[in-house]
Amino acid sequence: MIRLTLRELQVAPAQHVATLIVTSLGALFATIVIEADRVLASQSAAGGFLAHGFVRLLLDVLGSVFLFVAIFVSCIVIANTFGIVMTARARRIALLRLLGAEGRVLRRGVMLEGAIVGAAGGLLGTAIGVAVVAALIPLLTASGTFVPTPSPLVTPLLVAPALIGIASTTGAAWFGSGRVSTVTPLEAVGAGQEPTRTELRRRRRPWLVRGCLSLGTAMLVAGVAIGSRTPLGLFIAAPGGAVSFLGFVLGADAFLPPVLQVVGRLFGGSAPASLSRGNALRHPQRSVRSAVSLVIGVTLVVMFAVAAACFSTEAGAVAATAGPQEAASDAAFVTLVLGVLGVLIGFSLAIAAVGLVNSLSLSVLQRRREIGLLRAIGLERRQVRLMVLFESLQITLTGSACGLVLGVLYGWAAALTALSSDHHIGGYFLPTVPLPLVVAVVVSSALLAVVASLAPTRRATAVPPVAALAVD
Amino acid sequence: MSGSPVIRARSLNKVYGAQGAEVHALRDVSVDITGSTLTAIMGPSGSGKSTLMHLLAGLDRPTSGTVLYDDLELSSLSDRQLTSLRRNLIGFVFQAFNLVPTLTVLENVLLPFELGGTKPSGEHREWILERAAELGLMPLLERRPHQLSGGQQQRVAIARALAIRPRVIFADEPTGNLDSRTGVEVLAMLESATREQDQAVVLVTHDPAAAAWADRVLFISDGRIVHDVGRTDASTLSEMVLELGGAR
Repeated sequence: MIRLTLRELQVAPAQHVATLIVTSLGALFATIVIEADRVLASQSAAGGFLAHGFVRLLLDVLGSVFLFVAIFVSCIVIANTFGIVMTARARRIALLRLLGAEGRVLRRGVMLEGAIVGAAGGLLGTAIGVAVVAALIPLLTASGTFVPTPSPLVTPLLVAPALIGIASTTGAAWFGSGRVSTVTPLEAVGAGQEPTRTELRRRRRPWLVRGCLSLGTAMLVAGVAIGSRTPLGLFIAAPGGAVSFLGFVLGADAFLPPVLQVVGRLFGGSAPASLSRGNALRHPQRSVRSAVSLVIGVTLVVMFAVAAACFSTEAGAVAATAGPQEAASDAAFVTLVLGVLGVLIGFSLAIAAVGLVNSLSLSVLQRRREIGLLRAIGLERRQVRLMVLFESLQITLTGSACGLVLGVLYGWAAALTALSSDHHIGGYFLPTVPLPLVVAVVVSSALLAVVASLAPTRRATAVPPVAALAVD
Repeated sequence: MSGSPVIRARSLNKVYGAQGAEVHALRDVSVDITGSTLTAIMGPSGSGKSTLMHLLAGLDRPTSGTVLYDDLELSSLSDRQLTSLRRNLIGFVFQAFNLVPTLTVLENVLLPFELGGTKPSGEHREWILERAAELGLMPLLERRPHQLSGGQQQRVAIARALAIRPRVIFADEPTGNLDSRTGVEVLAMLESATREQDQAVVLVTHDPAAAAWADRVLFISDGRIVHDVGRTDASTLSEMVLELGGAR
């Protein structure tokens, strides 16, 4: 079994490129959080940022939350990616099952693959992260943002990103390879079988979705309530947010198709538009899987943007009432934190982008015969291109819309929890939604969709009409 | 010539589809598959021949009826037991996609052992390599499937099926993708398995020329066995096929 796994990695490493990138990004993310926390701590000690006791606490809490979020995001995207890899490998898995491999054993092999890729990605990400921070510190010191103070980079904590990479990728590989146990040996037999038929047999777990949603929401509300006393409420609100979000992701099969349907109507009634709308409805799981990785990214971006905007607004109002020196120090600190947040936010979008390209490519690959058929009965190349583009846009706009709503809610909850206990602010407030940023997020995610659909579109338009006749 | 029954199927029924739109793929089929015999299953598309093979191989469960391997009743086995049965007692050869593309020829041949977490004994391994040599695979052992011709790939699949010394080999249209000369070679190899290894070979085909290699030919039509004949030449078989197809 181990040989099969190693061979899979050796002969077809391309299938794990996405996972490697995501794991590296995750580890890079975690490394930068660890380093940023250390560097900012030594900076705030040396630069006198510690005017407010709660700022340092806030920084540590935010750092932990970021780390948590990074692991969470990469787990979901990696599990998705493994799901996609398993779908692409279904035929091979069926053959192995037919020849007498137990599903359990095959799944262990997939976990081993995950562990190996996770280790590689974890080490790569950690190395890049340390290098980036090491390069940034002299730059920031030179520009005057940082005060010159020794910032040791190597800490025992740095083992964490690599370990997290291994653990999360292995775990995500386990969740993502659930398909392995649904592949029947019979699928290896029928040469002309509809390749998507196993996709329809996915287990549905409504109780798990409902449980996650209610438990998560309850924890989130409790966290916000505790937040009015101490920012430590974040330690309840953050897992609560994650669990409720997990509920949303697990239940996306149920939540997203209606949204997809509504978004699909935006493109009008042309042949490519109605075809792509049909695709989204005929294979909802496939579209949902693509949309979810974007929902994750957009939710995070909007959440942080909204939380940061709330922080700026509320802390700014407070600063006006405080002394001018304190205000200037606060403003510099807020700018610094926002800069760091901006860097961290980039990762979630990058992770989502990897997931999207992956899904779209597979979607076209799996539909080769269908596209060939459409070409044979007279769909023009231009229309094929439009069809893929519409489908991609339908998915990304759905993802953005859901992400926006969720992101505003989570960001607001986070800001309330972190800030409402501050004696200067003292109380609840409405969310500050920074419109330019939201517009930028929507536009850039739409752009991302177009870019992500370039390669799949090229592949789709290259499908010859005779592909409709192919057996495999 | 014919050995003892390896598989005994009794009153097999298979119904697909929801209530009101049922499709009877098999209706009350009983058949014994015997060792040392090449049994061909023929029939037009949709006749139920593939369904029968799936049930006999334990790949699918009948709606009613029993399939017995010696004294093992397939429907009473768990998925794990069925998996082990396939690994140890059954060899498979198909029309296409027989081999794991990431593994070399030798690794593909030894795959059933790898999957079971066992290794063939020294003597057994020697024996497998002899079979591989007979099949002309020795120069190809380190190649990967995509570097082989269709006929070579099919020979690798046969070597893999033989490697575990199964009681029965199921071959589903094994010559479907091959030119006629290579197809004849493949059929000859399957036939020799019944002579030399006393194995039962079940050949599912719609090609009368392939079925003419069989010691026994079962005709399936509309889910029933309509003819059960001994060795028959290809032209007689084609006439029977045409008759079943309602040819004028």
